[in-house]
Amino acid sequence: MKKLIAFLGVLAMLLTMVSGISFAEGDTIKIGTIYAMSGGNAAIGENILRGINFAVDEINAKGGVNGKMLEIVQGDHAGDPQTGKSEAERLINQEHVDVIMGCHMSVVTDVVAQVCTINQVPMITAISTLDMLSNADHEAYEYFFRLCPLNSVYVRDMLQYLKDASEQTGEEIKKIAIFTDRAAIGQELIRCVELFKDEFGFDLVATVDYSSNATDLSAQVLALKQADPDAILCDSYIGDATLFVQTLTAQNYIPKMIVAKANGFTDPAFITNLGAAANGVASVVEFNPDLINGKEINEEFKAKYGVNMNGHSAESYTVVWLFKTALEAAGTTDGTAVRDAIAALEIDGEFPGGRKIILPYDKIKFENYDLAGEPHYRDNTSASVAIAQVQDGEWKTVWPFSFTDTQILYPAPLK
Amino acid sequence: MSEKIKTVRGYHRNVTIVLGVILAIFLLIPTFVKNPYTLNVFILIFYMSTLSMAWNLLGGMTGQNSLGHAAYMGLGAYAASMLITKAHMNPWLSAVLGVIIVGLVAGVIFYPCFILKGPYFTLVSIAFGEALRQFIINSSFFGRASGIGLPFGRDSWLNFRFGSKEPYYYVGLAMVLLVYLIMKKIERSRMGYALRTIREDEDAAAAIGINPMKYKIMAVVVSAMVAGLVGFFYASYIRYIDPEMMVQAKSTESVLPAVVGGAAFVEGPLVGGLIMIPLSEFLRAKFSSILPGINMLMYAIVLLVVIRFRPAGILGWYDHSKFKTFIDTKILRKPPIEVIEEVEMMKQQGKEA
Repeated sequence: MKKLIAFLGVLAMLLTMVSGISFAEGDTIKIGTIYAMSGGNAAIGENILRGINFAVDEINAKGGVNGKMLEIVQGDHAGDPQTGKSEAERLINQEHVDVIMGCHMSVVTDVVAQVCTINQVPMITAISTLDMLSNADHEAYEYFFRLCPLNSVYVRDMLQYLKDASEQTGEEIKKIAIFTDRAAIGQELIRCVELFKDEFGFDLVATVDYSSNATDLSAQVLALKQADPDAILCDSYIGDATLFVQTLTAQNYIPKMIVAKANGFTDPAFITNLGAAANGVASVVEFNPDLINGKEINEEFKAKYGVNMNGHSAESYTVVWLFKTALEAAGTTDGTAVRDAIAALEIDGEFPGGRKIILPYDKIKFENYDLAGEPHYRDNTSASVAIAQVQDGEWKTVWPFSFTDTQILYPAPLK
Repeated sequence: MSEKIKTVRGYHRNVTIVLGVILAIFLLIPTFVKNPYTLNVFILIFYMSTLSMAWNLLGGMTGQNSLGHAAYMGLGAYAASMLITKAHMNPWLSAVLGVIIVGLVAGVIFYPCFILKGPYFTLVSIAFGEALRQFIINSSFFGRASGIGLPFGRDSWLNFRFGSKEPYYYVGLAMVLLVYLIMKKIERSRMGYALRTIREDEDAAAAIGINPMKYKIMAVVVSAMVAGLVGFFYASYIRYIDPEMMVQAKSTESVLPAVVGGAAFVEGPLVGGLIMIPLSEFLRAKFSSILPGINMLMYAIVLLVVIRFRPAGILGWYDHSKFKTFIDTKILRKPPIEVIEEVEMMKQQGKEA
């Protein structure tokens, strides 16, 4: 036993040292991915990896990039910024990846983006939505780009949906309320609604919050009932989202519109948990299988993995194609050249040699711009989201109207 | 007689040489190891071991098992980061102030809590950590759940901000050394004896004139201050902090190096950190992409094996091993303990005379 322990210790030390020795560059182009593959958020990492692998297989089948095959090198940040930093350094210095994708939590993304900028390795985040990542403090993160919409854009689109919905419902929305978690996700929702509500002329009549994993939400539902809003905006994790809708029906309070900012509401368990009671709940989605440009790819994807493509898989898929296009434009894997190619990239409608953009917008370009009076850097300014609604136990895209034929179910029946 | 003095002096000289060689190796590592990832692992070892030494002062030496050290670390990180970003204070100065703030908060909060003993103290430390985390999550002044980022910019010693690893490596190493020397000093001081007496039997300690309350508070304050210092280092290195760094699981991470290395020894956390952190990094690098999560399972198995077969930790085993006898007699040429004591005694008498 003594020997075993000593041996294990020595082995670990030696291998760490040995793995520090760098090996020669291979003849593949390496994409490093840093997502939570273990821990509480592992399921999210898995969906992301599916999207990435799908794109890589597609590209490699067509001959790769600049005559080289794409290769994925996986990192695991386990939801921790310290681990994220270690993993970014490992991928860059040991595995010699050419570009990096990540991460799933915005805090980790921030730390990894620093490491990438210092090492001059281009990085695109597919799904980190915190506004702050591209604000003035991040101006110097020159190798970091963001494909997905910002939290503010999510909320702006939610409000836009409420405004546009009157075209179909015939009723104008005036009073809105917020129901959300006290944690980071909720704080973001509240902040963003405050930012845009006046622009849309909405009156915020109540802001109701609770602590994550609540066991009882009746007081909160009662508060909403008393405020009597025309629409409720919410953001919750899956347990709380389920309990919220259950409490609404138990108290026989049926708000006309519920619009969620994804998270728990778009978790597959949401519809399974609630059954028919989920009908009418709407949520932001980054992708939905019934989107006009998404139907075809979703069928192939489903045939391969047995599940529908979700927002995370679709956005990650798109990022791999962005890297491919930029690498081809640069003609090299040199970090600075690829970075400049990404900055100059302009995808209009479809990728050269690939599909149409499968997300609910038709242009991709990274730009510096102002959002709500604050400067932002290197975001995809055309990014926006779609709104889907549960109808007959399935998510159906209802907005933007140009991407779907489905009508809004109004008022939300919740049965 | 002079023969004995000579052998004792020789022994002390040998110990100094061995320690000097170890230190020299650590000082020279960055000149040979250029890979930032490997240096990153060393930096992790430095600050996690320091945090574990802080825990060990309470858990190992005083026998008060704290599970709230991530909160002290977080508090130190937050105090320093707030001073840097909001008051635009120099990082080094804010580190000093941050450490003092952590010491004060820990002293004030734990003063009433030390009426509690054993597991109740542990529970309070958990509650303290969670309360602090919730406080920050709900306070817009502290940036709520979104956390605080430190300004990004050019390398500078004044701002303790670097793109390369070497400066962090040396500052981290200096921090480990400083804290180690402090802990060693405490262990050999009146306070160290008092703390160990309290660990063995608090009532007996009180009966022989040691004020348990006073010494426990001192231990908590020093321990929290060291954890706060690690927090400052962490914030300066990672350059982004959020309340998640104070979660319970992080406190447990501060306990592991000490327990694996040997909580009864000041050196325990260092030995444990040197083994467990590279192990955890290695397992993740090699296995997590094959089967996500398997690295944690393997890590847990190693941990279970150590705890099951070497409950006193690696140093606890080493202390009674043939290996130690070999090193002591053959390499360090340690004279028998009676001889050392005799020489010590003579020195004492010499001073008194």
